[in-house]
Amino acid sequence: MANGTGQSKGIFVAEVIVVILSVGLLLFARKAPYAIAFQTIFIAIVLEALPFMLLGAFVSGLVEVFVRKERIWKLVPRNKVLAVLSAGLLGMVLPVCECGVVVVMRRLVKKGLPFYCAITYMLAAPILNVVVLGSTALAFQGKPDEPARLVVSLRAGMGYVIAIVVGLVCAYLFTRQSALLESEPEGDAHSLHTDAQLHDQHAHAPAAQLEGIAGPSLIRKYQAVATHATVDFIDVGRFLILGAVVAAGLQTFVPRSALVSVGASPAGSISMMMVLAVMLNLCSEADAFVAASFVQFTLASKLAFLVLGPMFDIKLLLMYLSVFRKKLIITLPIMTTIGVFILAYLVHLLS
Amino acid sequence: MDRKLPENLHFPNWPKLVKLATLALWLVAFVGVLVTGRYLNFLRPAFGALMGGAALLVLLMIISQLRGLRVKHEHDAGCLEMGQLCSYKHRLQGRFFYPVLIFLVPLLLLAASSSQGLNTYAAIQRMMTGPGEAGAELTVDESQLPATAPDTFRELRLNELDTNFNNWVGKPVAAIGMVYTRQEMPEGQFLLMRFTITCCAADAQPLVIHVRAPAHQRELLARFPVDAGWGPERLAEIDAKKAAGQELAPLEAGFQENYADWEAALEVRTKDSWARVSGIALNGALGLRPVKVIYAYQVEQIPPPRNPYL
Repeated sequence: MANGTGQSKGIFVAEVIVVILSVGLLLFARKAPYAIAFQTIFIAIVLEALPFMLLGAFVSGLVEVFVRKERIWKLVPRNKVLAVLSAGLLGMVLPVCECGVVVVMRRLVKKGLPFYCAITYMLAAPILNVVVLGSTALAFQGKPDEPARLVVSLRAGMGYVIAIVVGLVCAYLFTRQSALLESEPEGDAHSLHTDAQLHDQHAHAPAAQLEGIAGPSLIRKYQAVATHATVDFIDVGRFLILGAVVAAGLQTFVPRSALVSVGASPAGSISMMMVLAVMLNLCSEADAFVAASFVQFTLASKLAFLVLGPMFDIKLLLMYLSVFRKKLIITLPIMTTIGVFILAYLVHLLS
Repeated sequence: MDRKLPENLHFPNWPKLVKLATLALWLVAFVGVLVTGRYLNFLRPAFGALMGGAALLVLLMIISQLRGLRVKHEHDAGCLEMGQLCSYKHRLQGRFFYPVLIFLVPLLLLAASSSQGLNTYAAIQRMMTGPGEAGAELTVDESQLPATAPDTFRELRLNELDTNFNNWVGKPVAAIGMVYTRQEMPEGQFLLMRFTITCCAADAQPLVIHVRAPAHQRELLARFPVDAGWGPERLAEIDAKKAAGQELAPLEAGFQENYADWEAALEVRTKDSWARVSGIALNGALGLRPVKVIYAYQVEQIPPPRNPYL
């Protein structure tokens, strides 16, 4: 249970408002064109995201039951920089889209992965995985001005660089206690420096995950995995639904043509596409096709859209509330946004 | 003050029961949208597998929650989920129920929604250049029209027509889509719209083709404009007048004679209705903006397709 009381109260108020607005919409404006559009977009986002979140929750449950803390502690390099660099590539091994990555990341942190490695993984995994890079290549096929290989390389490269820079900055600006809503008293891989401490931790480890569950070992393990998955799903899923409400509202009431006028200059074009990325809340497998269809925009602005979207959108921002403290929630999007803008503008200057 | 409770009393584990009920509702929702095909209004067809997978995962969660539905009084039911012992009165406090409350919102909207996919309002909001100036007249290059109306039209999906439009200019084509019209639009013009989808309605992009309605429909709507009071009530008055043996004015007689065609022309121009437009693909202009046009010979209203997206 989150111990950020102020955040919990704010979320509770937001949820009550959403429930009241939804009932109001159904009672008073059900057939209005904007209401139908809002309902369609909201339900679409939820129906599409929840299965991936469920998958992420089960992955998280599997991590909880089958991955021992000591294994993570041994695998994580002692050097912070090396640890962050490797965490950026973890998405290739444990690919999860941005709907499920927060759930998985939460569990990895509880298992002792340093929080800044988890942040790096969370930012990089939705971009640096085979499915997303494959769909990016497919979306930009047959475009001589924007060769698929170039777009894929730039998207992967920019995503990786931003993820590790943000991870390293978080490593030095924050502590585990100041970053996370819940901090495990036994610490993480980088707070334990000696084998003796590792041994002590193992000896005094919390009760086994299967304790208290009767039955054959396989059933007990399934029970444990599913129970943890349920808890994670309920905890994080509520933020996803809140995020979907905001995203659907923005898509319904903000016309895209209003944003086009802002995008006249290169910097304006990049900024406009970044705003779109945050507003649209697209999944990283689909955003490449949407970006490719924006023929009037430059490669740099499309890359800004493709890199920022999986790292930061309304839905993700609200899901962060289940894991991070307010200061980090504010800092993460700012750092990511600045990083994406700088790199995208650099691409514009070099192209 | 807490009540003293009997030793052998058991309580329903309310938080777990509420969670179980919520998960069960979601299981029904996933299975329901898959079996009825309703998910096609929101997602691409291939994502039916997602709904099936999600239903399975939710079922696994439900099965795992079937243990511990009744608890002994030593562990207060309300606090068991938090792993704490607390007082009896917490059992009924709302704070154990509200985490699942938000999960009911999409279920409520899904059950009550009459959505059949994204509508023309959403298309207009997503068009980067807007629907065009209010009242702008659609001009087409009629030199490419055939001498006589064609008998057959090549059925194309709107994205096929849009992508290779230049290959179809001057040729007879037919396409289906949603009708968009607005008050400022001159009579005889409307937009035919459809969405292409990658994952879900959130990423759907609108395709728009302008339609110049068939000449006879344009003429009927111009001769008997709705704004001037022509409609079913006027027809009833004319019928009553004729039945009473009174002489009809030429315009009234014309309206009575052509009412069926007039009504068909009007019906098909209802916003968000679906229509099949058969005509000649032409290059046109809306004001100064070049646009793709179907010069229609036939426009017929059709029911919405099962899968509204391309």
